Amino acid sequence: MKLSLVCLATAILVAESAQAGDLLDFPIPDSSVVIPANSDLADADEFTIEDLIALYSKVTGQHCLMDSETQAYATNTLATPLAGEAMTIAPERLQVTFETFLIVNDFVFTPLTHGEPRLFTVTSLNTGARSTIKSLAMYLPPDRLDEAAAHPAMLFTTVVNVPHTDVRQVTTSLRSMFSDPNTQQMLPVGNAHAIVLTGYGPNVVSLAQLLAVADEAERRAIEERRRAHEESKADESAETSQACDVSGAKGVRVAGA
Amino acid sequence: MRLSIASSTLAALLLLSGCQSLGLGRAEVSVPATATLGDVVTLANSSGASTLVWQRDSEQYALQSLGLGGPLRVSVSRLDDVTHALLLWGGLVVIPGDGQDRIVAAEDASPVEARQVDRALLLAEALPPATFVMTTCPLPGEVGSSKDLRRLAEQWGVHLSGVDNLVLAGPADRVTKVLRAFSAI
Repeated sequence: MKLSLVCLATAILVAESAQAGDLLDFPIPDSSVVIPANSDLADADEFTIEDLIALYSKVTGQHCLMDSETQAYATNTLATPLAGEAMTIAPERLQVTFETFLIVNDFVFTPLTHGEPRLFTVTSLNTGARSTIKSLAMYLPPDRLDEAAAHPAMLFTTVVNVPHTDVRQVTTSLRSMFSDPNTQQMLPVGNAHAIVLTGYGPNVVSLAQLLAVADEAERRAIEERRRAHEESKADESAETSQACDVSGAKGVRVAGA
Repeated sequence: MRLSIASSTLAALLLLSGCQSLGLGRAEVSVPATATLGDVVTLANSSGASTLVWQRDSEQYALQSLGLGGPLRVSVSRLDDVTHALLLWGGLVVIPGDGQDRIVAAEDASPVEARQVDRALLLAEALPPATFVMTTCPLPGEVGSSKDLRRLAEQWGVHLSGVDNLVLAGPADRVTKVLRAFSAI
């Protein structure tokens, strides 16, 4: 009986976990998605960010939440890069394309739930929410950081370990690269060599790569310095022993004389 | 013995699929496109998924529109979690009580009212996301600087207090993010 209960619990857990997904596993539509060209539409039907969000929600089966301020911006912002020709988006490219159109129009995308129903929110950076937008950043462990590259409108926070780098010096010297403290940050943390990075997916990935390259260069420089130091120590001790040999020989000669 | 495990598992799965095909545990409610946060809370309470009550002064948030593009269908088993996600999105937290949970604006929630929870529970994401919780960090014997913890807490809007024994207080979702980032340092 006990065994049956355990099995029942296991089966339910397995079924539940199979239903639960990952926040970054976005649904992929069955077929390509076509976005109309604004030039083909009457002024009143022009394709706005609101239309784009509605289309994305429909084909992926997700639901969007927007505060009223953001909604006003979404209604009044044309999906301008689409002004030319109609655009056909391959199903697997929909997520990154959608996010690209959002970010070029100053909208941030944040998934809220990974189970059904899947909810996400879009926030305009032109609203008061800009000052608190960092709190929507998703934490991504360093070993999964590559996944962030495909999410240009999502904010991520991660911790990068750079064991050979003086993190305080690096973060101070690179601070000028961060133009918007609301959406980007680089903080030295830990007595060890760690840096907390926050920013849009591709930016966080490339900064982490930059830090890794710098850290590797620093590691080589440290190794080089150590080798040079060891060589100079070896030279010194060789010179000392040579000097000893010479003085020893002199001593012998003196004694011989 | 092996046969017994296999048959028990099979029976469990059959029971589960039977329940699902009968609609048990899959009952759904529909949130209209024009719903406000207050409507969702009412729906969650009336379907028995939640036991939420608005704290005075937080009632104004109930009028906040969700701006949904269309109606949202939610299974009753997920309704409490979804309600929490919506409340958190709206800048609110849920203070657990004895049989009745209070909805409070995140900025007005006092850390002393947070529910003390074990860190493992947070890392397992076992609590609804807007649940107002507190937990100690770092644990005795664990390395980690309070300055680092403070920086991470600031980023996600989590309250941090204490000197030696630091206490993080905030919505479960955000406290979990702080703990995860802190453990990666």
